[in-house]
Amino acid sequence: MLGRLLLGVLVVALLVAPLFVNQFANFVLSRMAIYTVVALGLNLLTGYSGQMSLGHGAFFAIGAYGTAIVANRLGLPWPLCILVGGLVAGFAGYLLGWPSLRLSGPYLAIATLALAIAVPQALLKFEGLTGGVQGLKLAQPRPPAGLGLAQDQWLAYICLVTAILMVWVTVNLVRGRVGRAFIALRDSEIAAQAVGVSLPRFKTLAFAVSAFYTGLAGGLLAYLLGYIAPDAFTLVVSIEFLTMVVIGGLASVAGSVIGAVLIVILPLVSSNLTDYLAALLNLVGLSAVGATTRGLIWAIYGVILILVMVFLPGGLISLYDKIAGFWAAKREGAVKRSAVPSPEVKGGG
Amino acid sequence: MLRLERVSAAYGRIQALRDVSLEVPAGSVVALLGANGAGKTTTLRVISGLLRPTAGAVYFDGRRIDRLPPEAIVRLGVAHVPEGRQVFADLTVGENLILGAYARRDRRNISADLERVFNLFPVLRERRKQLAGTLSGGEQQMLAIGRALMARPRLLLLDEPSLGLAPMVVREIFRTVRRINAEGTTVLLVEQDASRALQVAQTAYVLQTGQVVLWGPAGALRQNEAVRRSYLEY
Amino acid sequence: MTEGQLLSLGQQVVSGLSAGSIYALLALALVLIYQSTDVVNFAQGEMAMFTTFIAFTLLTWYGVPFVPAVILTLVLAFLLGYLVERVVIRPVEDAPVLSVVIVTLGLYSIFNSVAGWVWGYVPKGFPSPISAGTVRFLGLTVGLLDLWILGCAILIMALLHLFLHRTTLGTAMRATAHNRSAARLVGIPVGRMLSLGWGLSAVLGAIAGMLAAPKIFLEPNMMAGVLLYAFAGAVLGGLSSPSGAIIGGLLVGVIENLLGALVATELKAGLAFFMILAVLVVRPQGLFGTARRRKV
Repeated sequence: MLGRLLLGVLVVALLVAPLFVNQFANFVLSRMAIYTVVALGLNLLTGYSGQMSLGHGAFFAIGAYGTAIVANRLGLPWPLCILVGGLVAGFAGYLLGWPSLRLSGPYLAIATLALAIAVPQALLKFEGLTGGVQGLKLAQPRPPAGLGLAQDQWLAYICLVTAILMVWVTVNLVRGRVGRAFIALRDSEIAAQAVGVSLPRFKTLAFAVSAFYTGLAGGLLAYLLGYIAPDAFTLVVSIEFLTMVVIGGLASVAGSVIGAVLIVILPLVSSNLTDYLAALLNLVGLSAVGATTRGLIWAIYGVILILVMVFLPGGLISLYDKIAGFWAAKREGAVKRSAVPSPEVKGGG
Repeated sequence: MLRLERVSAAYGRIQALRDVSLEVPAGSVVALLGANGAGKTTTLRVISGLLRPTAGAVYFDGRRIDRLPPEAIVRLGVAHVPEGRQVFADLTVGENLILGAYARRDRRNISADLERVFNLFPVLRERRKQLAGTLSGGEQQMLAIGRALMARPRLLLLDEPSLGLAPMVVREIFRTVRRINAEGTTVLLVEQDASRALQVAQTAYVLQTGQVVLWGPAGALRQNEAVRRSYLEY
Repeated sequence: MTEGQLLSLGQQVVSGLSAGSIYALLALALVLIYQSTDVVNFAQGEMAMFTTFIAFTLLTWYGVPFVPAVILTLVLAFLLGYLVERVVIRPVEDAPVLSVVIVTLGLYSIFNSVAGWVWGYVPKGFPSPISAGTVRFLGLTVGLLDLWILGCAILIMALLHLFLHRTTLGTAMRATAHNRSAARLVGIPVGRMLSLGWGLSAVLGAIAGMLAAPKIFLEPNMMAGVLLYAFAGAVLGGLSSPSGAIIGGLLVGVIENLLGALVATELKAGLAFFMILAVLVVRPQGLFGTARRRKV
């Protein structure tokens, strides 16, 4: 009950926040929402279905470009464009699902890696469609008249509402038949097949759904920025995505949200930390060194990643689990052991 | 030579051994019997240092060994032939045997010991350059025992040597175990095949759900009603 | 095909083999680590780059002569790999696979960033004992540097093979990689073997970096592309097979070069990867990998 109440409060707070914060904060909120949608999708594939993907940046790009192209050429309303972006990405995911039936582990990772590398290159090559290195511009959705919202607030709302909706969808998906099939797949493919889970059907479904989520998020990004270019969809993005679901916690909706929030915040935190480091070095008289610490942002980022994984290999959500488990154990109390004497058998029968 | 004092062990939250005490006198063969899951393999793993006990102590030659790493325990003279053979399948028979002597400090006696192993198990000499994974079950068991012998152990821990092997092969292996014992090596034998184990051992312990429920001279146990019913007639 | 075309093809193959031998060295390092610790080390390339920068520092800032500088670098690389395993990887060895992947990605960030911070991002030249020049071989004009790279790589791989198969330590390392619990039983100090494996891989990476640097210039991001191709080569050859890694790496080098020359330079990476994907679909365990029989 307490949990539900807190959740409700959180949702309300999120919905009210865009009205009170500045443009940059709304931009950050929007990005967190977008990344949450990606995290939910990727987690469905990696956490719940146990398939590794290093290629979700590709689906992100497909969704973004799909949305932009449809918006510019067909002039459809923006919700439809985003949906189209998601569907196209979902179809691409479905196609990728087929090789996944034969490959596993690092081999599957390479296959998805192929996609992550090929797509940005294809984006550059097929200029006629994608605008090549210049990218594409698209008109951002205008806030409806009479609501008195600014552009950044309206965009934030679109992203936040979509994210909340997808969280709700995911929670239900995971609890339902499909979710259970995914988990069965992850835990043991052979056992899953033995109870009638069709491997081809559900593996490709996992990829398709996961890609659909990511494509949707890509469409959102396209509208948020009003402009997309290939260099926003490099391999680094795919790695960011994987990092966030692992850091947040695999097979956990809450973990996906936490991971997404963290991955958006982390560069900002690292940036601040390097500033503190510079200030510290200034105090000690090493200001010349301090001036260059900005370059260490990614080193700090890396250290944080490692520390989180060393202390919480199950992701940040496991911290919550640990605390909850700790309280439960205290309630159970200690288990007493009884000493049993070993009976001896004397010779003679 | 070996003494376990009220040893308890667990895998995570699952209690595998409870208050187990047993003694293996020098020069003898002691059998550890029990059904699947009774804790026999766990006992051996505690002795060889693969698993740390949660309570109790293990003494080898009067010296406490339960906190030592496995390589130190091997160096003290305890060799463990694991359940399922566990040979290095991608290495040759020769390489497997050489690795058995890895922990030894006295390098010069190794070739002599290699000869000794080949004399005990002539088939290994034939298959010296073959990959261990291509050997038959019985040959792999011999290799596993031979590999353990390369460490010049004073105590040999044998985990289910008869598992999955044909009766003739098992007979051969037990004959060799007797021979190894006769040459001075103490043996702690874990076996599901209770009748064979009781034929070769002097003393036996029976484990059930992690506790010693019965122990005594092998002859007595062979006559014992409970043992006969549960373990000797199937 | 005309004779000219055939010759040009031959030249592409040779320079592909040269690039491929660098991929092969790095792929070998990846496979060694994967086989012993089940970890895919995404930071392998960055560690190689970092140690190459150390060599650069020794050579240019301290004026150490070439051979001692290289030897010192290899020793330092070994220590680096050893320490990374001991301090960073060991604490997470029981963690889920993806967690360890993230740890190696963290290492990637750290090495890349620190290298940029210390040495800057301007590409630097790396001294090479062989000057740029060509030689005629079987009617082909072959770069001396390419031959040098190929030769060094072959030598190193031969030495590695000797070490792994003819020494007790090497055999113990192989045993630890294949069956850790049996290795423990036999008294092999498993932890030390794992650290040794990482140290050895770091040495291979350092060699790859020092061979590549004269050609592709030394800068913090130089190994990123190389790592991808090395990864591809390792997977193509089969992650359970060191010789597969070598052949895979060489093949990837040749394919990449041929694709770049025959098709389109911009698309060659994507195409190369898709070709590998095609091979994997037909043979999921890689060309030389052993099919993992699934135990039910």
